[in-house]
Formats: sequence, C-alpha cells, structure tokens
Amino acid sequence: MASYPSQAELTEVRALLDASDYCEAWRLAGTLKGAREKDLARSEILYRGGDPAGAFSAARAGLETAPGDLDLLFWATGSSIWLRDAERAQAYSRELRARVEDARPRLSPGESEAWTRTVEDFSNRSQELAQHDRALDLAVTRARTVSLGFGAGLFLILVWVARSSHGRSSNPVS
Amino acid sequence: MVVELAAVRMLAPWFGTSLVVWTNVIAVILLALALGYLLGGRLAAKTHPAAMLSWVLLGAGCAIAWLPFLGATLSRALLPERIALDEAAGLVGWGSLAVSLSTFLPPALLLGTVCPLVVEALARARHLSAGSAGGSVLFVSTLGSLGGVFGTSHFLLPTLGLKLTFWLASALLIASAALARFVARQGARGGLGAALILVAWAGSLAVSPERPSLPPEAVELERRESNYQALRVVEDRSQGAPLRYLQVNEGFDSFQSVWQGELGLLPAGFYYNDFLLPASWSEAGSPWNVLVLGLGAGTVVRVLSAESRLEPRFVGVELDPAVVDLGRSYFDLEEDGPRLTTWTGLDARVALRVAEGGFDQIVLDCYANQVEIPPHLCTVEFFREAKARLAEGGWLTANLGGFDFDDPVVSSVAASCARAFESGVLLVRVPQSRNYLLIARRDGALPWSSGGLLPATQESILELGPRRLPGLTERIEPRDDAFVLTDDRCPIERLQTQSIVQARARRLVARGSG
Repeated sequence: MASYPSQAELTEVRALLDASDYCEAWRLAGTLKGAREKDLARSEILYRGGDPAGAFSAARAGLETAPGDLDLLFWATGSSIWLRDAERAQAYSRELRARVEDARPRLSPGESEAWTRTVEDFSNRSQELAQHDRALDLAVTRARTVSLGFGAGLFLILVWVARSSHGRSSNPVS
Repeated sequence: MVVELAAVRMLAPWFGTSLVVWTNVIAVILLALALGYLLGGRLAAKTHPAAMLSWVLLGAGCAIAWLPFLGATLSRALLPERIALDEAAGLVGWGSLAVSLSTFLPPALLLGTVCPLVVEALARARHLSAGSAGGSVLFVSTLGSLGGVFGTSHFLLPTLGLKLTFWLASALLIASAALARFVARQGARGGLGAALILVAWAGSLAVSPERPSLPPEAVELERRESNYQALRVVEDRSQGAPLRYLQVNEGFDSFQSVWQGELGLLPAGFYYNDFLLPASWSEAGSPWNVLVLGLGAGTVVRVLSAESRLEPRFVGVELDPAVVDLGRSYFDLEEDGPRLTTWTGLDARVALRVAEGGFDQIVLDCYANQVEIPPHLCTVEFFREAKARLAEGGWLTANLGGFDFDDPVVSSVAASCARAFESGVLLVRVPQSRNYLLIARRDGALPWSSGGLLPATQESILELGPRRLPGLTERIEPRDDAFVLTDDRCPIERLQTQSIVQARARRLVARGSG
C-alpha cells in the first residue's frame, strides 16, 4: 500500500476506514463539500478497500475537475502501480513530480520531504514496472522469433525432401 | 506417445498444461511425424534401411535423453522472472511453441522416419508386399502407442518422474538401435560415431533440468508428479508468519491451496475467506453441512472450521489423491473422521450426483490447468445438479477468477448459474484480489438491497468491510438472451483466453465509483 503524505483532510473518513466501516465512510464521502474532496475520499476508500481500478477511476474523475491536484495524483499513481499499468504509472508519476516541484514553495519542510520520498518511491516502482513490461515484450518477441525460425527451417527441409528423387524399393513386390 | 505425454508434463512447470500448450505440443509432434514419414520414405530407398534405422534410433534416443535438460534451459531463457498470470497469455502460446519446436521436433522427426524404414526393411527381409509390411508395422506401433499412453500416465510419470521417464524411453530406443545394428550386420562400421552418440546419451544422466525459480525468501518443501499434474509445496517466509502454497504446474503467481499456522481467516486478498460470507446471514445449522468441490489441500476446511458457531461438517471432493496427501503432510488437513470425509479420485460432477443429503453450503473451487474452470463444472446443467443437492435456503458459493464483472468468464458463469437457479445470483468482488465469489441460493432470499450487500445479521469472523461498497457487488438476474454455458456448448477455454488477453486493457475500465 502506498503511504499518503498529506494529513490535511478526510480525518473522519479515515477514522471510519480504520474501523472497517466502509459503508459509512462512503456515505460521508458523498457529503463532503466539493467534487475534488468527494473524489479524493472515494479514491482512498476504494484503494483501501482493495479495489485499485475503482480507486483509479475516482482519482481520474477528480483530476478532471482539479487538474494537477497532488493528492489525486497520489492516488492515481498508486492505483496505476497496483494495477501494474506501467505506462499510466510513469505518466502520473512524472506529473506528480512536476507538480510537487511547482508546489514546493508552498509546502512546509515536513510536507516537502514527505512528497519527495513519495515521488521517488513512485518513480522507482514505475520504472521497475516499465522494465518488467519491456522484459515481457522481449520474451514474447524472442519466443516468436524462435518459432518462426524453426518454421522457416522446416519449410526448407520440406522443400529439400520434396525435391530429392523418389526412392524405389530394391525389392519391389507389387 | 511416451514422448508426447511426457512433453506436456515437461512444459507444465513453465507454461502450464492449458489447451494452447496441448495444441502446440500435439501440432509440433504431428508436424514432425509428417516430415519424418516423408524423410523416412526417401531414406528407405537407400541400400541398407536397417542400418539407417539403427542410426535414426540412436539419434532419437540420445535427443530424448536430453529433452528435460534442454526444455527446461530453453524455457528458463524464454520466461522472465516472476510474471503474473494475466501477463502470461502471449508467452504461454509462443513460448510453449518455441520450446516444442526446438526440443521435441528433432527427436519426433527422427522417430517419424522409423516407420517407413521398418516397413522397407521388413518387406525386403521377408519378401512382403508394401501393404502387408506396412499393416504389420502399423499394428505393432499402434499397440506400442497404446501401451505408451497408459504406461506413461499411470505408471511412468507418477513412479519414475519426468527425467527418468524420458531416459527410459531413450534407453529403449538405444537398445532398439543396437538390435537394428545387429540385424543389419553393421559390425564395427560407424562404430566411432555410434560411440560418440552413446557418450552424449550417457552424459544426459549427469545433468539435472532446471526448475522455475522461487520468489525470494521462499523455499520448496516438496515436489511431486501425480497422475494429473506437477505439484510443489512452497513456503513463503518473507512475512512474519510463514505461508505455504500448493502450486500446480506453472504456478505463475497463482496457487491451489494456502496454509498459515493459525486456524481461521487468511490475510486479506485470499478468496478463501469469502466462502464464509453465507455465515453473515445464516443461523447456525446443527451441523452446517458443506460439500467442497475442489478440496485441494484443505484450505476451505481450515477457514470455515474457524467459524465455530456453524459447527461445520465437510465432504471434500478432490480429483487428485496426491493433493490430499500433500494437504495432510503440509497443510494440516485433518484425517477423515466425524468432521471431514474426503472423496479422492472422484470428479466433482460425479461426486455431486452420488452425494446424499441436502447441503447447507456447496463450495465450488475447481480449476484445471491452474486457470481453467473445467467445462463440465460451469454449465447450466451442472448448476441445476448443484441446486438439487442444496438444502432449502442452502448456498452455492463458487470461486471465479476474473478481472471485472463483465469479464467473459465471470459473466458467462454467473449467467449460467442464474439460469439454473431460476433466480438472481450475486457476484462479490473479493477485495485485493482478481477473484469473484459467485453466490446463489436455493429457495432463499439473497442478502441484497439497493445495489449492495445487506448488513450482516449474524456474528461472523469475516467482516463484510469493503464488500458492501457500491460497485463491489452485482446481482445478476436470469435472462433469456444471456449467453450461458451448457453441456452441449461450453467454450470456457476460449473465454478464459479472452479474459487473460483482455485483462491488461480491462484494468482501468472505469467502473461506477459514485
């Protein structure tokens, strides 16, 4: 699970999640003011509830109304990593890094340090995912090449055999 | 046949034994035999077919002896470390084809040349017609194949294991080569070449095939070849308390059974916990009779036993006796007694027909080839039979692997179950996993209202937690126009392939989140 650096909001929602009262947390999220807050809370609820795809959807919906929001980017990146989606994880990780740099003058030293750690962690994990994906692609290409190579070799053998003269039994009996 | 059947087993630890793997192996062997027949026909025209036969048998014998080592080495080279099941789709197809072509094809091609060579040698030696000689050879070779099928599946693989099975087959071929050489009166001609091949053949005994690597801090406790599959027990010591897994064939990141030291709920993300869901709304029976189809090493028994309020009594059905044996050795599966009766060697559908009494809960957790639900265990007819075995108000709970509610496997199996039960069924997404729990009930209300699960009415060790969130549960109603699986038409393997292939694209499909 990703560690969440911001402690500013959602205290009540988190308390309910800690008590495993997901339904009440969800209800409370619906009462929060602002679309950004609602989506942020829903993303965290779904993430902690073990539904990374839902968490991603909520974070992405929030980013449409609050582009560049650090907290929403946090959940979007974390969910993408959980889903092992290297492309999105890298894209959101890069955006988060850029937005953290933009916001650094407004952050307290503690917040700044926490975001730096988070960004580094996300960046490393996104890169690992990308490397893993590349290794998979390479493996499929390798297997395909070996298969097709053998197929071509077999075709040549077939041509060679077909072109060689037909034998005649030294003991024809029929 | 020995090579063909053992070939699939050889690939199993790496690529599994799914339909695509079987198809690749059979296709490659058939292709090799076809070419071998053609080539053998040409070689048979040479002066000494028996002499040629000895060389061919010698070469095939040597190649077969090296198969386990070569196959494992090539598989290792083709498969990246630690890939997930949903990432493996492309690799399973192309990888198993590449390994089959590069390892099984050469010996199978050589073996394909044997038949025409023997026919020619026989025809010449006995002055037989081509038809007569061919008929005799085909008769003997087909009988040999018959022996190979039964002998390999029921005796050689379970008794000797893979490497020795291949080696025994190769030894028989070498012996046949020696016989052919004797018949051909070859004497010392080509002796050096034959000796070199024999040295290479003997060298195969000195090497051991590689096995798929384990995750860090995991140890393999036992490995076994059963009549049905390759099994291994792996203990993961990376967390505080060790967890043991029973892995079948390739494993990837999936497993068939899991064990922890303490009785009760497993850590979050294990679908076995969700078989306890009916307990949240059910008053205790006395006792609570459970039929477990796909007992495995007994994980379900250990999890459900922790709900002591229910006083569960189990009938556990497991096709592979070796799995139950490993369960008793490593997974604390209790011996048969008043609480548990195990039926091994019995197919789940047959067991369902012979089981007596109405069960309070049927647990369906049957998988073949690790990821495939057996086709006869997910059809409308099967679910009707399951319904008939439930007590009034009894629950059917089935584990489905899938990636979303509209996943081809999940949706079609749920629709089939709904059709059979003639009422709505529930699909519950298991948190932190890629599993869904299918819940159906005989003559009883489902705990569902206004788009979500109802609160628990009974105390249970399993908290409903996030399962009650919107979007984590769906109710599937029976529909006349829904695609359902039947005994007559059940393309579950194709749906499974579609599910895995689509998985990556499906991950981020937006679902209702508010």
